[in-house]
Amino acid sequence: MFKYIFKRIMQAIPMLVIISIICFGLIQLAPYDAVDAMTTPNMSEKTVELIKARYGLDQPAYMQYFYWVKGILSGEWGYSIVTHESISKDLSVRIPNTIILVLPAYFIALVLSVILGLIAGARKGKLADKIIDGLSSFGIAIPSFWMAMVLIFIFGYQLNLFPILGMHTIGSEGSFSDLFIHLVLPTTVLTLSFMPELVRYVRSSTIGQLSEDYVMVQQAYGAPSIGILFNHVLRNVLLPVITIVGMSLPMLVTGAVVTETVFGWPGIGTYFVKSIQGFDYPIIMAIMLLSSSLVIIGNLLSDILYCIVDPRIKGMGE
Amino acid sequence: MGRKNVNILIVILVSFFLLLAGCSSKSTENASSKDKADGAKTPDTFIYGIDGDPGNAVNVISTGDRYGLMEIKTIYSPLYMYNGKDNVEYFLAESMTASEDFLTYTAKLRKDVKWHDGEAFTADDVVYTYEQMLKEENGGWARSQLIFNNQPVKVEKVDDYTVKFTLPEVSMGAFEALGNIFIMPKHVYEGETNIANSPKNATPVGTGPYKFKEYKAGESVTFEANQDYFLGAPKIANVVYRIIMDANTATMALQKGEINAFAIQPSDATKFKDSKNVSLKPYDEGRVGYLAFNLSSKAVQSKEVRQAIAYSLNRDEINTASYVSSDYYVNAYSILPEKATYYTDNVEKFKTDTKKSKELLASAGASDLKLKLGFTANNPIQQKQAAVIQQNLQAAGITVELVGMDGTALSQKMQSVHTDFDMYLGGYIMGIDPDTFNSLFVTDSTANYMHYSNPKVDELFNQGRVEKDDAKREAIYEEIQQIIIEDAAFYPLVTNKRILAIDSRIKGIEEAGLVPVYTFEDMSKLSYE
Repeated sequence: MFKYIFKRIMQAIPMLVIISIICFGLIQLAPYDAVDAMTTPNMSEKTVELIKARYGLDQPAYMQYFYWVKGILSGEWGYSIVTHESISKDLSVRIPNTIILVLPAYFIALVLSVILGLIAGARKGKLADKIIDGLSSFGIAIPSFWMAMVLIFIFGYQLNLFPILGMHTIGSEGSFSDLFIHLVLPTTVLTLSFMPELVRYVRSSTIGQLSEDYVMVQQAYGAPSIGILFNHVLRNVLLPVITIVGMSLPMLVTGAVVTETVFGWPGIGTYFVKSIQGFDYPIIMAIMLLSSSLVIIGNLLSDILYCIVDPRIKGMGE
Repeated sequence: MGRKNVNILIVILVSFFLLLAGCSSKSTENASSKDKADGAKTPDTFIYGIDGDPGNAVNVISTGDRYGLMEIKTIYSPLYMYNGKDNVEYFLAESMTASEDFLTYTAKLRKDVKWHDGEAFTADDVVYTYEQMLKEENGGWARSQLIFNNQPVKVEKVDDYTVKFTLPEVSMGAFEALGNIFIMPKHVYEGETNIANSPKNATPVGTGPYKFKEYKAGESVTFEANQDYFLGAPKIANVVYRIIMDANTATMALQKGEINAFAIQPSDATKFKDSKNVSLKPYDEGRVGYLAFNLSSKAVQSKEVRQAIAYSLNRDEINTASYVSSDYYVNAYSILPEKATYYTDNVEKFKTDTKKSKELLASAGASDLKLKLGFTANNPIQQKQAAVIQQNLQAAGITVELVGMDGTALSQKMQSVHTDFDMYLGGYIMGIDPDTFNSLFVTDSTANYMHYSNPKVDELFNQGRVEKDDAKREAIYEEIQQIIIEDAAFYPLVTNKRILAIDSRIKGIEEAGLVPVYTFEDMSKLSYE
């Protein structure tokens, strides 16, 4: 097993290197010069040259790549062109904000989806299945910004139950209950937008598992159908779900771009949107590198988890 | 055993939902009880929604974006603000007087001013600020206006409360150019080599009405009242600039009272027409929105063709389509906004005349003309302007292709010589004195994106700068306005207003003064009724 895990990690490293080369290549192609983030248009040629030399920007591209990688690894992500602020500092404030929002939403969506998916799968073709499956199709089709606006209008404005802006009420920044009521609406939107796909995935996986021999054996022993569902089918259904969970790791960074923008949530989403609007290349590249690396790491994690959970896979690496 | 597991699962689920339900109902009570509490007492916080992030590196030298400048206006004070020839608002200076020959200006400073950290404000701070602004490597926003014919202005301390500015040559726009610069504390920044990226910017120390309290990335900037403010302590205890990127959310938050002010789009104005809680304050920012020609492109190099286009355009139609109601705009005819000194509307207005337009096209020998119009694709105002312009020109037999671009890409294109589009939409907010507009029209100037060149205009701008006689100066600038419009390389469309939607309980807006860019001239005058 360790050999397999080791092998997977070894495979992931060249992928990360390739991703970083692609990102670096795109930065080079972008219509800006990295030195723009540190200079102003009024500086003289000589000053600009000095700054270039200080950051190694006068070196050939492959040397710059090594400087860049060294910077990334030591937490030096460069500066924003627009605000001249350190990107790693900005990210360290914003990523936790996004995680507070995305993690609970994803967790709730996962739990609800597994239950609803199992029910729908077990009752395939019956009324419950039609309702759940129908609503899921509906949910996939609804854009999240629209759902957010509807929820804001009904619960935030007309019923006036929840605040609609940001993370905190001004003045009560430390209060958890204040944070909580600010979380309700955006989390609901995210949960509803994560759910449909997961439900349909669990449902189809359940339908597949129900036709397996072990289900027939259990039925022959006279086990109650609900017992079969939760004791035996659930475990097998959860296996592929691990893959999905692993692959959604980048969602922690980019999972809520639209929702955050609508609710004015100070996370990565608003930061990303602002930098795209301002053509702030260093930030766009940093977030791109981060989320594409997370895709690879997420895949790696799900493979490893899979191998730990499912004994049948252990032998495959050898 | 199977049954038992299911039961446990159900119990967990039920308790989970109960927990959720419990939490949400509790929070509902919280929210409503808080609302009641808010209604009972006078609020002590003014929350202004902004759709950008000023960042945490705001400083008086290199910050140039609208929200950064709003933050600066709240924290710092200038010597004086120049809002018009007879409208100079003095802050740190008590007076600013020019010598007979207009070569030296002397500023007398207030003696009762303290920095937010308690240190006394003196002439040293003023001299230091102007020195930093003039340093090329600092990239100061006002550097170019402090350089006169390649010579910098000389700034000297006479005594602790007097500063003398010596110009290398006469410039009649100097009074405006020397003002509007915010003064930074020497005792804080002294020895700092890189002001734009200095860590000291995170905790700014100013002399303005409010003290900086906290910046939360992507969320808000909070200020508290400076009780020692030299023009009297502010009446509202806290001011917050709240960052909201989505205009729909902001509009709803304003209706609901989560924020107290926000600058809205004209199309959203109807939502507040009958509102008791929110009132609309449209105000003039001196912005001129225009259609300009790219003179590097052959198709529009003929003056007759450009005039033909001008005759086929319909200002009223274009402006009503984009700004909805005449409450929010005025038709523009000159290169200067109405509030600029020596503004005149005695220029060729190109009253819509499709027949004349066709005649001019025929005499220029331009048939079946196809032009490209560049504009910012995600700007709702420019989208509408572009669509109406396309229709207007269609009627005169000119085909227009709309080239919607990203804002940054468009401005980068404009700065280079190119033929990607023949005309483009834009807008500018310059100063009050007409000399501040020269960089837009003088041959090969930095902001002359039309690549316009008329030796007569260049010469007049140079004369206007040094002419001491007011009447003669007026004549010069009127001639400039007439020539540029006659050349038809620049078609002014509109002077639009910025529509501030603000909580009706806020009083003193008049005294605080609505000004371009910063919104309020002096926030300390605002109060809740």
